[in-house]
Amino acid sequence: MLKIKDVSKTYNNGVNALYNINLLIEQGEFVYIIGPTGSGKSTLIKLLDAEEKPTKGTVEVGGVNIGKLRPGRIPYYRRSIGVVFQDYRLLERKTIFENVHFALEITNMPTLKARQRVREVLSLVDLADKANDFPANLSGGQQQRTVIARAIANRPKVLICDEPTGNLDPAKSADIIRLLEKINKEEGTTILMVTHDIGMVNSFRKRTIALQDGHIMADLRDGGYIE
Amino acid sequence: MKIGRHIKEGLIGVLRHSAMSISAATAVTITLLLVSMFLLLTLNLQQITRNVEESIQIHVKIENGTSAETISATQAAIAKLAGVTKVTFSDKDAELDRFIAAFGEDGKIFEMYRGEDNPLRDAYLVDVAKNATLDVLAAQIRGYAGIEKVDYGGENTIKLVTFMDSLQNGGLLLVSILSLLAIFLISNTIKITINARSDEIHIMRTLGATNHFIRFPFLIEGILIGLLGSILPILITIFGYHYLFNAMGGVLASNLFLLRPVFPMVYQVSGILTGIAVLVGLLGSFISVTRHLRWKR
Repeated sequence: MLKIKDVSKTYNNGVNALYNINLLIEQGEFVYIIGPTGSGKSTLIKLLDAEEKPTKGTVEVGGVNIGKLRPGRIPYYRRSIGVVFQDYRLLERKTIFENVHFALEITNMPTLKARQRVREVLSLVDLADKANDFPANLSGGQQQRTVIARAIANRPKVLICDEPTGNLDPAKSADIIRLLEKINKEEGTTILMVTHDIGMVNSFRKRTIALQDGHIMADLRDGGYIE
Repeated sequence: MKIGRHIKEGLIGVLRHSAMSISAATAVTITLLLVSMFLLLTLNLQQITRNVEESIQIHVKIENGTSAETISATQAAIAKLAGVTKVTFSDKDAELDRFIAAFGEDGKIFEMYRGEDNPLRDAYLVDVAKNATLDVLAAQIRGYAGIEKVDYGGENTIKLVTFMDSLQNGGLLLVSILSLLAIFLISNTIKITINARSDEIHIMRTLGATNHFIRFPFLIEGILIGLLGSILPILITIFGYHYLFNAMGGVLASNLFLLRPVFPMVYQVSGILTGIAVLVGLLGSFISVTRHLRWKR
């Protein structure tokens, strides 16, 4: 599903973020990427959502070589993945329903079908009763659930989560992980989750990849955090 | 392409960002008001200049006792002069009619001079081309036989026409400069409106919206803001000019300075204002959105 081969990334300012990374993630897996600040986690996400190109090597998602994508094709690629950000990135002047609906509108999905799907995912994330509220009226956990609903609305094969629990308390964080587990199981979505939250990595054990200084330090199939 | 969706989104954008929409529309209103004022002024100046130009005529008095042959020979000679468009012979009676008419109601008292007592002279009324040199023509006409006096209003007439011409050109220049200023001001305000929403554009991109999909509602928003801003200037143009025209009796100071009739001019000016508003709204938002959509990964 997700193939990263001999990937290095050096930014224009000379900063080396990743060195010769190799990684293979199968369809339906749930994987944590952990590591301290500056370890290359964010760069990895940027490579996966086509915000950056690798300096060397190839990044493939669902058979698409992202580094070779023409600019005009990038929007279409982005519709095939779901991204959940730590800072939510909801459209503030749109309601919760409209925010989720927007992700389907851009794919030109027929309106009736899109509205049906929005209702479906909003019940999946338990926000059906907040459909007409604006993001500012929701708690952090609710906003993050909205972002997850938006990310999965288009039934992506892979869901990339960038510190989705970074702004939430432990109880809300556990709720989000349980929701992601449900999506992973029910929709068969591959989930790649970048996190700092050691407690959570230890409580909800999954395959864990540890990055440090741009290198993969460990790839633990059984999960758990390493010092 | 779902045009209905984009129009709806544009409309929602204007409503949900009402504060920014109003400030952008106000910029449109103020500049269009100025454009409208100068446009009305220039169009009227144009009209007045044309009236003055058309009324320039050389009045040539013929000596009493000049024979009919000489009169018609001189008339033919004057007609051949460069710059002369038409020569009309006006006999004493016709001259008295013109004299009486010039005094309006009070002119009736001169009726007593009709007939044998008429002290006026026969005359030629010489119409001249716009670019004719009046003093040269007058001198040439004076040289013919049987001419008593040549009258053309003097240099002041020429000066007035030149002055009106330059006023009119200045007005047009001002309208052009103001239109450019309007485009700059409005596109700048719309730019600020859209810059404030760069996050929104960024989020849309991360979700996989194409540039076209993001841009279209913003263009509709720009047009709507332009149209919103043009409502007041158009109303003021129509009703304000109507009021002024009636209040001044359709003239500026004298019958020579006739104002342009209210209709269809106010509709034409309103059309121009609407055109500027739509164009400027469209251009302003196109330039601003495109800046945010220039491809970066």
